[in-house]
Amino acid sequence: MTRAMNRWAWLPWCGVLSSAVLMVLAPAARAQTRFVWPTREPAYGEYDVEECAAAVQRTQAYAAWGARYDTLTVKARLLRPESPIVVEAARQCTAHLVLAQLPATVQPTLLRLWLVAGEDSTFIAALHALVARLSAPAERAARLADAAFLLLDMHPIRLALADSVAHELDRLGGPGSRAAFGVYIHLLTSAHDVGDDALGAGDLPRALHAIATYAQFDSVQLRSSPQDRAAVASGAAALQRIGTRDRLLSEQGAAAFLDSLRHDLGAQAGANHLHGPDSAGVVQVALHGGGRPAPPIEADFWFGRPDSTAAYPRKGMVSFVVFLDERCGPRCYYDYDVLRRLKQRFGEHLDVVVVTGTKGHFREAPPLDFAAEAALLRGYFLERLKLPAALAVTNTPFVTLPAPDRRRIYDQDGAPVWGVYGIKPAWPVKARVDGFLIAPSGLVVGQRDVLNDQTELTDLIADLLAYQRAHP
Amino acid sequence: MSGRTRNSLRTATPPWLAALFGAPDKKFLSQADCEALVAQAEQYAQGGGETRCTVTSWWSGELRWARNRASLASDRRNDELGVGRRIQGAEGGVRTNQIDAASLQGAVQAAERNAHYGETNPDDHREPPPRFDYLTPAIWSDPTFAQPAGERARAAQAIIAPAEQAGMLSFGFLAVQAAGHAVIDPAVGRPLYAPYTAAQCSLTVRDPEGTGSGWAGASSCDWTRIDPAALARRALEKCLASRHPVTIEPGRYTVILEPQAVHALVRPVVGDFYGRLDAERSTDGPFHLRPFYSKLGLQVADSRVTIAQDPLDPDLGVIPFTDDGQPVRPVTWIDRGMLTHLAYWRNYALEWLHDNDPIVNRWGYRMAGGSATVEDMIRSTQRGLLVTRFSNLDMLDPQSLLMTGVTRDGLWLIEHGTISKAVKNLRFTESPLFVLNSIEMLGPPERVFSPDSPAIVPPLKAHDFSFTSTIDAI
Repeated sequence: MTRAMNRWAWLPWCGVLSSAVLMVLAPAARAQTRFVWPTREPAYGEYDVEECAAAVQRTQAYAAWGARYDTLTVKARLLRPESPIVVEAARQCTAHLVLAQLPATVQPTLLRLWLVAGEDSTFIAALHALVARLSAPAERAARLADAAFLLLDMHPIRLALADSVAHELDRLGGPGSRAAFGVYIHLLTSAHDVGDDALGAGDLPRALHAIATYAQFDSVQLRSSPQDRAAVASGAAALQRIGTRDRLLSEQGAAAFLDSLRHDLGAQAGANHLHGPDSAGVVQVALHGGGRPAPPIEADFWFGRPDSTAAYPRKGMVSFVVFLDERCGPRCYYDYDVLRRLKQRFGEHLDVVVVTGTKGHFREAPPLDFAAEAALLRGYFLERLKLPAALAVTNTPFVTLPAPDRRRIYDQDGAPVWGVYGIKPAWPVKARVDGFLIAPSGLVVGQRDVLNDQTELTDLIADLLAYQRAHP
Repeated sequence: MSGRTRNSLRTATPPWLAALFGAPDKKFLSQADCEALVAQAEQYAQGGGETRCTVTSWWSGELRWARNRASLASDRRNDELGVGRRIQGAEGGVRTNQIDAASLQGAVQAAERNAHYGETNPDDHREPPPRFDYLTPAIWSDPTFAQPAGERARAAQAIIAPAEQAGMLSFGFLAVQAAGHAVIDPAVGRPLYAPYTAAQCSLTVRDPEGTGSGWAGASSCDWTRIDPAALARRALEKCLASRHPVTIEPGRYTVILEPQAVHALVRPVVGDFYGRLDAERSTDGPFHLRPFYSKLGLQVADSRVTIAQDPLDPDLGVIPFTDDGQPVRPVTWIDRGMLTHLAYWRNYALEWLHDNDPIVNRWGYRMAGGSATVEDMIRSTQRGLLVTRFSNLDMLDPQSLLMTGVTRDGLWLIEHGTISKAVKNLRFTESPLFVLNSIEMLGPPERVFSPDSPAIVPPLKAHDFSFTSTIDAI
């Protein structure tokens, strides 16, 4: 034993010697850890599905940075393709992910990634495989409905695929009818926005069938649930909006409601415009508030009026009076572009009047008097934004509280409200941007706080002008 | 006022250390250094837009002791650089303390990456430069900047010795700091730079048997205004006087609060002066009746209470600009008990006040006092408590500023105009707004120990101060 120990006695000394050598030869150790900003590329191949989804979302945000879609029509927005770097990111992510190996809770995430990557066929095949594994019709309906809404939410929108998924919902019968009804509403609305009239015409009867199936399948529920009836009514109203305007809906019994709906929708199937003798009916229908007359616009400053002697809104003209506030900024760029497109389409036949109010300041400029601020507003709306409109600037009345508060209160009852216009009591402005469509007779035909020139707003203007031509 | 070379026997600084953190024999970056650093960062900027930087370069010398023995002596420095990039209205920023070229480039690129996740704004516009002139307060002290470590050691010895001789244990720290704060923002129009110094001393003397504790502390821009020996004497006296405390019933008492205790209560009040910054949506806070309605113009405190901030106050010491480059202006928050100002941003001033200038001051305040000394207050008290300071404060109700906390480091019962006995610490549940409306006497204000923001407060005597329970901690 001692001999063995003596044999290895040199070993520890070797360790000491080698350590000493290393200490002498090794470079001086750094006392601080240096931080390096991470700039490495995403490792898509190593991400799980949720990390992939987050990475793709980040890439989408990065790709969309600085891009503005304000001047795009709704159709162009829906058909806008995904950015190539986003598609590539999704492809790299999905290359290593296998649907069967994922938990059920994250499988829809992978389906979405396939769509972003443009692998529509893979998506459809996987969807069919997932649905085939489900036994309960209600579960199948839910999965198909989710898939359909996902397809309608993508860029570019997948109308044809959503349509085929909706047809599969139809084949499920009763359990799928409620989901199908919702899908068809979304599908028909999108088809109208995109201008796919053929798909709209083809799916309208299917939508009706889905409503009828749902009503029969769940008539007890409909009778007992005002919420469900309201949901069906609002859905049917959406159908009406896309070209089957006839009458306003109200809560009715399920059978009577469906009967009237079937009759009306059947009569107006596929129609987007009404002209001629029915235009009067349109105007009557559009008078939600009973056709109140539009009050005159009393402004302190006018700019860009074609006729400086007439009272606005002008009698005998179709007018669109829009209340705007410059503080809306880029959020209202789309609304501004709607005004430009309306004016471009209808020309001198349509009066566009923009009404805004003074606030005592403009952007970051120092406090201003009314005239100076009105001049800046003219520069902003008419020169910078180039709105093809007459600009009416009202001096908003205010009260100054005594010191030390010193606030300016822009409303008489002492409750300061942002965006109040000087003529608020006469015009029931409800939102930051509010538009009133006024018929040549001077009646308010419609009020819209979301401007969109691809829906009934444009249709109504066209109808009013057609009525005006037919009845000079 | 740039960093001066210290006498040092240290070997030459390794190049890699100097490259990362700057030359350690230079205490902090001068204005020229800050501008050169920012210019270098701007060279790395890509994609247009603006680069905005803040630099806080500081040096700190500190000595700590515990149980009458020094436990830590440090000499630290740091350069904190905040880089902001604003591209098409989208903003992104990072902070770093590595100012070598490679780190700087990485930081600028990281800020740009952050900006690329923000929303762009085609209507982006730059705020005009502030109109108000920047004041030049006296916040620099040469003796503080030049204080060697040996002087701190001698000061600590002078503090510890009396406690040790009395058989007590002394704990505490003293620190000096010198820094330069820069804001370099194209929107401001010119680079802003403010060098300043700060000095703190805080000590606690405790009985080794755990029956008594006394505290004293001070802060200032100028170390020469701090008297360590006086602080040591005061803490020792408090410790000796607070030994073997007795228990008293909690309840409502007349209290005499020393300035440090007053500061603990008033500081949250000052914090709520910044409530108008979000006044349109403000739904709570002691200075708002309801959304859009503040208590401006209303009497919120005793008429003897005036709380203000003047950057030129020689005792206050406030950097004369905010990190946004806004000048700090003199403002009186509460004037003779009436709420006269709340802070607000410039867009609030434009929108609501038809005014151009914001009030976004830095932290720091002076509370006006009176002429009564603490001894006068004691003599005038039939039965009450003398409180050294509070700690462990928690806000219970932000609307009324109802707070809870505990007394510490000296609590005495006053009976018939004299201090009769030391008492065990108590927990209070009280609102400073109630205290400011229950004032009986005020003393001359003095600067208290407050490392993060300067405060000058008086001692005060108030009635009906609520103590809710006793605590065992000494």
